[in-house]
Amino acid sequence: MSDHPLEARLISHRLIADLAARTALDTRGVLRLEPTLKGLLTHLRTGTIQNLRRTDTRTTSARHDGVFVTVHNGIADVQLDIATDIAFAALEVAHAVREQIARTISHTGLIPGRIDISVLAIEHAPTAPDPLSATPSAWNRHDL
Amino acid sequence: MALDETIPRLAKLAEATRTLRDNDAEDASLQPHHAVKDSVMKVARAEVRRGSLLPVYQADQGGIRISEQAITTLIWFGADALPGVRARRCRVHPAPGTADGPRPAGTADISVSLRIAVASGTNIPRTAELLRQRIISMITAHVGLNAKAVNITVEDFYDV
Repeated sequence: MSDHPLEARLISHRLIADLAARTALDTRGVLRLEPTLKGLLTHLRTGTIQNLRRTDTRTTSARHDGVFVTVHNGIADVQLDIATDIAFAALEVAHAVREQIARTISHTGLIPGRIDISVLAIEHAPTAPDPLSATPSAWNRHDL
Repeated sequence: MALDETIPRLAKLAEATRTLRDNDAEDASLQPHHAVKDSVMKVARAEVRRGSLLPVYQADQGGIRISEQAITTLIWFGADALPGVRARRCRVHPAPGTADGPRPAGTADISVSLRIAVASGTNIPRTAELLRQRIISMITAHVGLNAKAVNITVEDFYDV
């Protein structure tokens, strides 16, 4: 038996994506992660490949919408697409998310690399629906 | 194998490949579910509405970008909060010379074009100036951009 331990990758990019998503959603002022076409098509491609390989597709989920992670040489790069609450300054929220994600990645033993944040939407935080008041959709203003 | 034998065989292979591809295109079992198509189209439309992403902060450790739509929402919110003003179509453009590159927050410029309707009897010059100052301060405070030009067009009146 060899004295050298076998090398194994314990921290996968999926785990980092999960941690980044949770960290972002726990940051004050973040409403949600925003799905993008790139993310959706990546998700579909992954599902198709798993179908072709007849692997278990139950582990494929959309919970990582808006998060892209690459891990190389112990460095984790993260790209995050978020929607923020209009009651908070979006720039400060984005900075807070970057700092929190960098800290979270450091705790895994990996080195935080580039952390890019895109604020795709700024909205009011959702409130309990009131059936008596109908708020006109903001998109309708394009037609005015 | 001689060339005159190879060419007909390659032609047959090309024809067989074309037939297989055509069959796959018509095979209903290989078509994506309509829910998948709907999801893709929904996200694609949302992406078009978002417009381009404006860089507001760049560093070696990563950057922050904000969509035109997010800034537009902010402007609508600020304008609607002003008494006697209803915001309408809004366009946001990066100022010329605003390119990617290392940049601290608060140093990128944008220009804003906003169309509004005002309540009849409103003092338009004073209201427009108030609105301009409000938009400039909101954009700086919320997204760290400088609104170098805020063009306001009063295109309609409404009764109060």
